[in-house]
Amino acid sequence: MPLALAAAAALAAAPAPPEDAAEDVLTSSAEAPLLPRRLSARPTTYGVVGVGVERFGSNFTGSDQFDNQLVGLTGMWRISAFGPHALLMTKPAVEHFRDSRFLVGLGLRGFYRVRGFTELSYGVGSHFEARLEDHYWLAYVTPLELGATIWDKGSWNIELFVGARRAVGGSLINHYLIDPNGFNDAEAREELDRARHERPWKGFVRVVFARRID
Amino acid sequence: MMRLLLLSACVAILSGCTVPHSRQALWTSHAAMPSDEATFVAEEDSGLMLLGLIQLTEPDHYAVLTERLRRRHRCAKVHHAQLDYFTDHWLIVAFPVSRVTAVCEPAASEKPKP
Repeated sequence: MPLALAAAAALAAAPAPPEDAAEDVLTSSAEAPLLPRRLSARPTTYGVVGVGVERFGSNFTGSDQFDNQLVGLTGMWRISAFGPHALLMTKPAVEHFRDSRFLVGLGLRGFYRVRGFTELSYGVGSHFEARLEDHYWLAYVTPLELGATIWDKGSWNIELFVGARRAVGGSLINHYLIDPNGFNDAEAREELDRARHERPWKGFVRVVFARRID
Repeated sequence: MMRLLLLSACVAILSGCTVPHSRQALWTSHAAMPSDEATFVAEEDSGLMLLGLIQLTEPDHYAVLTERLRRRHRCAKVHHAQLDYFTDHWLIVAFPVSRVTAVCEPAASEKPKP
């Protein structure tokens, strides 16, 4: 009899099963995490890949604006507050390949998060541009690139960059596929000299639609 | 020039599209009804594909997304989770995306006081 009473008392003291005991594994509480932190924490190193549109030139006004529009891909490997990045852009010339432009570049950015507002960046880099339409190539250094995240939702973000590049090298592209009218064209050489010595600085504005990849 | 502009716009529009693949409920019956303070929250992760064909990285497991969602929004309970899977195509790259959307019951300390 005492044993039965003890069993009855133990049953009465046992908590009743919760009504939602049949909830699936996804229903969790703050006291019972679904995964250990090491499995669910966001990594501090990750990639950011995006599509960029860049306005790159020395004339930001006038009627010939479309000539300086580049489009392409950008990629960055984010390591904590730093981000080595690469850029591959082009101004496609659908009808004539020899009128196109290609820009490739490598650089490094440092990031600063303004909590609750945005993330700012400062970057430097070096770039190489083949201006087939002008029959020459140029090498640039980029001592200034300021960036800000202007929209951020989920894995999406939109970034805005402004900066300046300086031409530090360049030469004519003497190839019959690009310059069928003859090598060392005088007009192209004059334009190259202007680009290298008279107007070596060029500004750029770039908008990147990117996704975080981790 | 106008032709080139129109062609570029067409290429951009045609190459930028979202292809949904699936939408699945990660929930079974008998779940308690969320309280009045509950809100919808979402967490997503992206992978990377080349040309929409070659998958380089995949989005995270749904359990990782759900746990991140729970921690980020400080949910005491997560109800009615739903998993969406879709692909964003942009030029030669594409992003396969997993997104978990759920009803979040805020932790007691997060509830507004009457």
